[in-house]
Amino acid sequence: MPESFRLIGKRLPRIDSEAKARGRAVFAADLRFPRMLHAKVLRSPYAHARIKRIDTSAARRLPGVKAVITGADTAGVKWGVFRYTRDQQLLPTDKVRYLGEEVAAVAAETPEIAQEAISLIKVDYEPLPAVLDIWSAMAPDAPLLHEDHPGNVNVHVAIEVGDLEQGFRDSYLVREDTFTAPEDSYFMTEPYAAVARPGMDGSLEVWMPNAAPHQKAKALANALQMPLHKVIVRKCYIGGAFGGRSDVFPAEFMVCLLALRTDRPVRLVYTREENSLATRKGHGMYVTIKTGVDRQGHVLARDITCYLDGGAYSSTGPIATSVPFLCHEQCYRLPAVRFNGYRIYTNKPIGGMYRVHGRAFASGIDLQLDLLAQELGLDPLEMRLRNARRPGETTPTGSYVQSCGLRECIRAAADKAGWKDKYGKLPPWRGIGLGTNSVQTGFPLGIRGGSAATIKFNEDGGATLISGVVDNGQGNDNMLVQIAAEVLGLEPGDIQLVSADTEATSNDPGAYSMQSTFTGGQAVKLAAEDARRQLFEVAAEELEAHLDDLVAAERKIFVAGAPDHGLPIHKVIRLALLKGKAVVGRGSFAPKVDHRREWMKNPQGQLSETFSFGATIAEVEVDPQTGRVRVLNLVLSQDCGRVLNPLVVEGQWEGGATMGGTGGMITEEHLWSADGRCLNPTFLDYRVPLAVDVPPMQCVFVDTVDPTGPFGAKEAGMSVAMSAAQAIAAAVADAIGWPVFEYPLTPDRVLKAIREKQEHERKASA
Amino acid sequence: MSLPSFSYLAPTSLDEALAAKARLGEAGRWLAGGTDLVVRAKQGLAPCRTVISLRHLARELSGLRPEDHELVIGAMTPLKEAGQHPLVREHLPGLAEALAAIGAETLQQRVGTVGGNLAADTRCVYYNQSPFWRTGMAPCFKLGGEVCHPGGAAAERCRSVCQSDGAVMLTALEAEVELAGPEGTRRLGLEEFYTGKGEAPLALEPHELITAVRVPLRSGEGSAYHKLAWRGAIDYPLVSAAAVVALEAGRVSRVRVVLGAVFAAPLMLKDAVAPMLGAEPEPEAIRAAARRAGSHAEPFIIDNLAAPTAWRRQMVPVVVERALSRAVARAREASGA
Amino acid sequence: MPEQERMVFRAEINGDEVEILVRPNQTLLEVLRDELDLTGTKEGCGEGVCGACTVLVDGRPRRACLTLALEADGSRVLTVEGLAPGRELSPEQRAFIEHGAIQCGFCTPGMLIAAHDLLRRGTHPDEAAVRRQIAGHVCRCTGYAKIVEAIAAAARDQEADHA
Repeated sequence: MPESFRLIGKRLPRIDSEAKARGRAVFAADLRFPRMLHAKVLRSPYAHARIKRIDTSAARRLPGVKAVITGADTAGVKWGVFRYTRDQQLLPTDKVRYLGEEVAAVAAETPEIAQEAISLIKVDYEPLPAVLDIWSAMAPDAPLLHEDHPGNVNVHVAIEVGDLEQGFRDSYLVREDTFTAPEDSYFMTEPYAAVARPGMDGSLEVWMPNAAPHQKAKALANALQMPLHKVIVRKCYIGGAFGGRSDVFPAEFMVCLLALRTDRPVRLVYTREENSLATRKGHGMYVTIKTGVDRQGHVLARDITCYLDGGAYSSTGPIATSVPFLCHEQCYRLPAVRFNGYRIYTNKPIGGMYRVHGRAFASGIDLQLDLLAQELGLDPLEMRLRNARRPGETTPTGSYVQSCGLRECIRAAADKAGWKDKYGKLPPWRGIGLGTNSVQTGFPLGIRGGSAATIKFNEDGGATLISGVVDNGQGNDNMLVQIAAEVLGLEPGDIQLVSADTEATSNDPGAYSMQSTFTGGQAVKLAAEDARRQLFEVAAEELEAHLDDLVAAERKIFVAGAPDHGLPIHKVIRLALLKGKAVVGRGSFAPKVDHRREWMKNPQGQLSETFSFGATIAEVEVDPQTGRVRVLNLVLSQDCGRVLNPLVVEGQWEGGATMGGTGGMITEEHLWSADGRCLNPTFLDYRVPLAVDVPPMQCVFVDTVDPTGPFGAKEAGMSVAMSAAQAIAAAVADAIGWPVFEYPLTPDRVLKAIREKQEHERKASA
Repeated sequence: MSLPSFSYLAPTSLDEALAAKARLGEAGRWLAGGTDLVVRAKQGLAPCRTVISLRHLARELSGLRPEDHELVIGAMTPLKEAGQHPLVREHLPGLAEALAAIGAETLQQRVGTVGGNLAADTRCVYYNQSPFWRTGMAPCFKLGGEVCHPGGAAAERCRSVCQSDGAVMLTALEAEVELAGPEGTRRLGLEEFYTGKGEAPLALEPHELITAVRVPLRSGEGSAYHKLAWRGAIDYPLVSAAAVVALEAGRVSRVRVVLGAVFAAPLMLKDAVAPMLGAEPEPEAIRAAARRAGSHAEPFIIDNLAAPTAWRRQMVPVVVERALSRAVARAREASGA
Repeated sequence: MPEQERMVFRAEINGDEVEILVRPNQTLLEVLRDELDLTGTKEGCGEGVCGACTVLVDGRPRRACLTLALEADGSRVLTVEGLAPGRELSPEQRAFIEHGAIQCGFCTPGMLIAAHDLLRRGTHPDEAAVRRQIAGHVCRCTGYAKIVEAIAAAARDQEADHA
């Protein structure tokens, strides 16, 4: 493989930017079809209640109303991401379990009529006592959300490797600390919307923002009891997912049901509030970490107990509960480690996977290392380096790490940030901190873990690439085309992309599992190479050259080093056609993972074929009177194998660091009233950072060129989103000289820590 | 969220507008930029039969001009225009700060108006929510009910707060509003204009329209506005302080401190600052005043703004000290001290 | 439901004369998206905070979700679709594309209008001024970094053109 590429590694504008810049990119809520109906949803005003009766008669009679559905119109089957987490009826028949849960839906000629119809539906509720936090939920006499889950424990992930007792005995220093954070949330700018259109061939087309069209289609097909080939999730532009658009929602199910009932297209558009309450949110977390280190700062043993506030249903519970631990066990060497993760049901909106995957956990791990380092008289940088994962090692739960540039990232970030000149040398109230983490490039998904792509050509040398990969805005469409164009010697503009359409494309695991490039991109690369081989075969014969001497570049196939001894691609295509051979490239790829590995039942074995690693360094300034934190600078570094497009990767890092760090660690949290109402479901009071709140950011690429990844690429971005959170927690602790264990680092929490420190110093000097 | 039904009028003269409002009374609502009214209407918090647009009066009611010893600011003047006006920047720096702190740049050029900011309704996180959000909750005082949700059982009145940066600063500056009605125009000092009642925060008669704000222009005076929010734009204040200080021969001849986001009206703190009069405004005197302000404001602050209550209380002395210090520095400059 | 009287709405939208009947309670955003099929302008929050619905009315930025359509009667309205004629791209559109300032694209129309407004004023903005200009526009994808770069670059190019 040539080390210098035409397109790979270049700063190329994305192929979808123009449509978006023109305002012509069609998102789900932009879709309009003839005779389309508008849907609205009736939601529970109670956090926990039995549904005794639903009277939809007045709603049905309202002129303009074409269909009204409730749980009674469904088979009442419970759905779950896993067979063993089937706990949610997509429209409830007996109970509502969180304030805002769907109870009924209406399709009408106009949104106003639908809204009025909703107000005419009468529901008899019998309110039940609700549990709104993990402790109440786990209390002995707590009301149960799901009868078969005593103690409201939804998921328990138990992992234990090595001899912990010995490890702690051998430790020179042991610390136990508890870190907490309330719910955080995606707040992608596009509110959720879904459109369903019944076809004349018994099919149903569905559009909705999603991070895995094939997974959505499968779940919908099950719920609607239709064959998979008739439930078609179509491609639309998607306004961000960040983990919050992966598993199936009642919304799309309801829209499908309404469309089938009325035999007309139906569109449902969520308000911002509905997007916050009725899709997913990040988990609130309470995590206790006990770590023992030797005199040199090597971690010998670690015991973690983590409680996650899961909300009313399990969603991707086993995954969300495991990932925070798994990221950290990939990142650090851990001779002995124990993890008990409990996801607890509460009568609140449903917890899903969120990009940062547990800011309390991630920040706690690193902050505690800093505290241990302090006691040992070690620089935190050194502490991380000594414990950092190295390539060729195996994680505690049995994943071999085939490429790892973690230490290089740490050093490179430290260089760029001027760590040596700053740590311990900054003026009062300024601090610097380091965060490191690692992210899976995919995880075992059984039969759905692979991706397949096809490339077909036209007689003028242009091509169509067909792939199941979905683009949530992170640039996947561009990545696929860039890869194919590189291999085939074409320009991106020569390739049409058909993607994320379950009618036309083969299965792809989905963007939510961080493997679009590694798996989806790899499949495309293989398809392109397959096509190229077919082109070479035809060209070789014509040119009387050896297959192995041919290259594809500049829209030609030619003998390497002799560009004139070649043929334009369109000529080769035509030659093939004359032989009755259409050149169609096919490629499929599934990562080498241990298919026996299961989140709860068997958390051992190769989790993901490779891992990315990241390090972030944050500099902050704290106002000692108000507690406000200002991030002064962020240095972002990641080993994502190879940076396929620096322009795109930088954008991912900058966005991730802002969401996870500047926002997620300083101002973002959900607040709740005493009866389970979210106090800040909108952009006004859930404070995502604005352009004036964001610091300068520098990106440092560390390429390790993964042996498997396409052109050596792995996951890009999430290691930065997570480590930015950790870096800021560390930096604030450095700035005020006192650790803060509760996140986000809102002014009140920081001020409280400052006062604690002052109190501590007063007592010490007394 | 969609708007309820209403009729729409767009009068082309002030007389026409006032006549329409007089006819409609409380069933009619003035519409300036809409950033307050339209949001509340979508939330079902602003029932009305008719919206009376002020769009054609924008030119007539915009602009700034000095008159006698006052600066007259038309009510429809966009926030940016008012905040960046040379007279405001030079003589009323606190007002420039307050106006610049409202909303964000692309809200300030047309939709955010000075009058609109002054007439903004009081706010509370249990009130300013969607109709669905309020389902199943007993109506609060502000909605004509009998409870205050954040105030708890002990609350006897609405505890919503004034979060208008303009109102707080202009109250400190002893500004007056000009209120036009079919019978004529009257002036009302802002201290009277804001009733302190969350249920009906403005002493604006049903037939009246704010047409201008009149701000005294005084020599030897310094003003400052300090707003605490967690982001650099968009946010309403979580607590804020407006300070106006006048010096004569280096001593405080006049001092006013007003707090925002703690009460249904801008909260004047008289006793807290009274000891500063006649003395030199040394840092310790400012800090003492700030501490007194903190204890006076404490009982007002409850958990109604989706932000930690104890912290807001702790921040009162901080914002007061910062606003006073800046105002004093500017007063020194202005009085050539 | 009370019948609302429909009123005439006449405006110049992206250079085209439009005349339709609207209800008083229809926002400019609803009219643009639902009546005129100009879906480039987005609804991100419905309450004037996120900025995704920003358009220019008579040359000044307005949040279309909070603007009654009738408030723009007789006005000139510019939406993202009108930034450049036909298949051309305006300077800010080109800058956004070249600098990687667009990820999911949902906030992009509002950002472009804000950028356009800033560039039109020709004030030689520094980075702080650019950030202030877009401070009322939420983006969850980019961290704003490349949006600021793009607008600053477009402003510099503009200065160079006029130099």
